[in-house]
Amino acid sequence: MYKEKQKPPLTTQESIGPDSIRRIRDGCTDSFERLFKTYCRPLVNFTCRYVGDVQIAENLVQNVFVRVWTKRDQLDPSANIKAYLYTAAKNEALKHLRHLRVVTGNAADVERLNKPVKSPEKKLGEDELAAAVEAAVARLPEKSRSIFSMSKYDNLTYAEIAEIENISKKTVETHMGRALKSLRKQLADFFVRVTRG
Amino acid sequence: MTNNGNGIDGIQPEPTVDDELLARYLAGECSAPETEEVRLWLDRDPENRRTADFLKKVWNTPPVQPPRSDVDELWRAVAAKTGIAAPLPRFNRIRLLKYAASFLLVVLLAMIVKLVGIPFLTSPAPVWQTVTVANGKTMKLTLDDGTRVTLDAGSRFRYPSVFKGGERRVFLDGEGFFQVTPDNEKPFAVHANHAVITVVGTEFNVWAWPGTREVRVAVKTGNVSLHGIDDAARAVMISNGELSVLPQNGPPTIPGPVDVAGLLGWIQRDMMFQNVPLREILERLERWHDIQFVPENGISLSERLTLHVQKGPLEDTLELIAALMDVDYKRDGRAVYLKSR
Repeated sequence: MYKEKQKPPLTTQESIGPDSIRRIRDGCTDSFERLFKTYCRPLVNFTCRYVGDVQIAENLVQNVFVRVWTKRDQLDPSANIKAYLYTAAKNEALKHLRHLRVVTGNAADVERLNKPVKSPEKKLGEDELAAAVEAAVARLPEKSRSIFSMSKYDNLTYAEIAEIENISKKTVETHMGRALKSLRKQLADFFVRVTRG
Repeated sequence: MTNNGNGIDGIQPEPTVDDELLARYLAGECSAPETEEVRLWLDRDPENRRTADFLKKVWNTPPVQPPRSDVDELWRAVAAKTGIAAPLPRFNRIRLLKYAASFLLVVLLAMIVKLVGIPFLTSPAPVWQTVTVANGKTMKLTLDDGTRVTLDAGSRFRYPSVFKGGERRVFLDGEGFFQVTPDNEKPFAVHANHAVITVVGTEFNVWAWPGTREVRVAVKTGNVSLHGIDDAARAVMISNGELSVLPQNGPPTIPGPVDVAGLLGWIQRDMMFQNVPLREILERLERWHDIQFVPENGISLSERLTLHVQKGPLEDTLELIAALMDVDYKRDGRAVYLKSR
């Protein structure tokens, strides 16, 4: 627990509640800064999965927050700010990809950028399972992949995912089931290794 | 306990756990009875437990992370873009390394009023100078700190002979191109109409004619903060190649790309007007050539034109306007009469 006077460092997401949103709506820059620092990195990771480039993702996330501030009088303290931010980031990413499609006129380029980002420092064999999981996730059909990633990597609840993707919670569950089934099949080798090795 | 059979003959069917339930379990979306169901399944068979442990491991693998973002740096950019903070000192530390060249500010002063004695350097209070640029002229001026200002005809500029205190403040009515000497400690502030434009060291153009309802700031190099007086909370930060407009009421526009070199054409009297109202073009020509247009009533001054005014005799430009607007012109001393054809 932090003392009242001390400014908390990069906070856990639980500390952004309706009061914080209300304060932001009323123009409190400290609350807005906390919101930014809480969600910036997760949102960049999330957006990066769509656009494939960290700097582009950073720019898009910045745009989202600038818009949140300039339109802060429209914030609803009772709504889920996390879902709102992720939805906005996803829309920015898709808008960017659509723009790319127009500019390059090549759907293949856009498709390539849609793949997950490979970290340069990751060595093969360093953590084979993590790499295999990442690869298996990449092979999922698009909808299942994004829903599964949101749950596993972004720690979004089914309700939040349903809101962001504009689908029913049941549909989220179906996709999650399919994704897990596919993963189990793809990672069957690892299962054998892990349990018998 | 949905999977319990009726147990009539005492044998309970195997609780099955499908992938959807397992996914819910891993994602933490299970209700209490569902969690219980999974536990039962785990206890049934060690194989199930092994499967569950493996899947938990899979679930907990970290993603391949993109390179770590510098959140503080990203925050500073957002704070600047929203006008929450004007991080001039920090910007300057970074930008100063890049913009090491000296900057020139040329101020146009057409008339120097009451400027007889040059104040001594030890003089306690700075003497304020006001200069007005005559029509037909441009003026270049160098300020106390080496900042150079170029002022367009008809502009009026007020500045102190010596910059004292924590800020370098000047006042502009009209249009000026500023080349500001960098100084970390003392931001340079131009007050123009109701706008306050703050920089540390940079090159930018201010368009702020009295009688118009707006102030336009375009930046050639560097970073410039613009806000309405008493409205610092809604300041914007304008960067290289960007323009922002501060209206009479309301915050400045979000900075957008602009052809700055084109905007600065007035310095050489060679200007491309893109979709600009005729009124603005005529007003500029009036100041450049010290003339007065007298348009006939029917001529629409708000009609937008695109034309290139090149350095040279006024006649050439008048011919061009006459052709575009389908008017005739007649010069009589300083007056230029415009009549529809």
